[in-house]
Amino acid sequence: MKFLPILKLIKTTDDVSRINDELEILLASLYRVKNGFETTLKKSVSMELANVIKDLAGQTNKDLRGQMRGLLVDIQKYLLSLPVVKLTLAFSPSQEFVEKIVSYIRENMNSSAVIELAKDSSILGGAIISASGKYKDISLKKALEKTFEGKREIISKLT
Amino acid sequence: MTIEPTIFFNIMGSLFVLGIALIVVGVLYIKTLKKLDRLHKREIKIDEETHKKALHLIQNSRDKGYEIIQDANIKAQEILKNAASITDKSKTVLEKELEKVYKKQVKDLGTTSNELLDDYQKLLEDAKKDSLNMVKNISKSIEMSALSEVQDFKDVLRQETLVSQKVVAEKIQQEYDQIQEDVKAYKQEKLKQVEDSLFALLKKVSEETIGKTLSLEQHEELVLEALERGKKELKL
Repeated sequence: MKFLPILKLIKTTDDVSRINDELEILLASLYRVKNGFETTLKKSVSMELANVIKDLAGQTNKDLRGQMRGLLVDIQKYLLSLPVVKLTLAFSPSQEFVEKIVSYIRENMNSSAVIELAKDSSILGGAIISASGKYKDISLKKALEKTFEGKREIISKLT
Repeated sequence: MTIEPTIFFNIMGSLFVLGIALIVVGVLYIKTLKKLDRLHKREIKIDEETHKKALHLIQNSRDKGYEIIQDANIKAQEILKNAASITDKSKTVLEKELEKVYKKQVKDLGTTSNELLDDYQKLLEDAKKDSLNMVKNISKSIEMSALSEVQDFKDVLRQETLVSQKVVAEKIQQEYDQIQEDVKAYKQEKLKQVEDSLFALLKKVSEETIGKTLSLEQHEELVLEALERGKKELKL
């Protein structure tokens, strides 16, 4: 729950990568004299992340630089630990729909899950879901194949 | 429909054997005719020689007969000459008797010659008949032998032809059955190919049609339905 604000910034694995990259930038800036941590926090990372880090740092109530490294590394570890639900879709969803999917997954499946999206128009519709070592093809193509197999005899009679 | 090479060769082989057999029979027949002709010529030659010999014999007999009579006559003349005491009457009687004997001997000789000739003619006729019968018998025997050989050959050929026909018929039936099976298998294979092609085509058309006709909202609805099913089935 400590890192819930971070979770709110993240929906997809792309977001995880982006945040991780920004954390790396911040880590690198910690012991620089010129363009140090403060400057980097202000200028080189997203505002949302910067605010969250400031809030988290403020909560520790310790010296910013001394504990900052530990905080940033903890955030990185947290990011790596987030469960990933892979979704293959037949179309490129809008940001709004992505948030809708993430919201559904976090409410019904795993509260800290992030999604990894892939596009494959050959599945026609629906989705292929893969998570926690499990896999399920719930695509329209699969449903169509099943229907055709079931009706093969009828189709054969046409010949 | 083409004829199987083995069947064709079977028929050609049978025809070849038949031709060879006919040639053999023809050659045998020609040889027999030649033999008959030789026999006939020989018979004629024998007849001529026999006739000559018989004539020669008769002539010799006649000549000998005449010689004997001549000798008898000469002896009688001598006897007559020597018998001086015999009277002219006795001489005349003796001459008459001698002449009678002479005429009788000549007549008897003639009769004997005629009888010999008749016997000889009869012998010739008999010999001729025997030769003819012998030739007839030989030719009959050859004819029967040839006919018997031809009949045997015909029987063997008929047998072989029947066997060949049976073999050929069986082979044709086997080939026909095999072809039927092959055609059936081919038809089934082709039908399956058509079915598979049609199936694939229908599937592809359906996929393409559906893929192009879904709206964004329908896509989003399908995704949410999939998530709902995924939640239940994967138990995430």
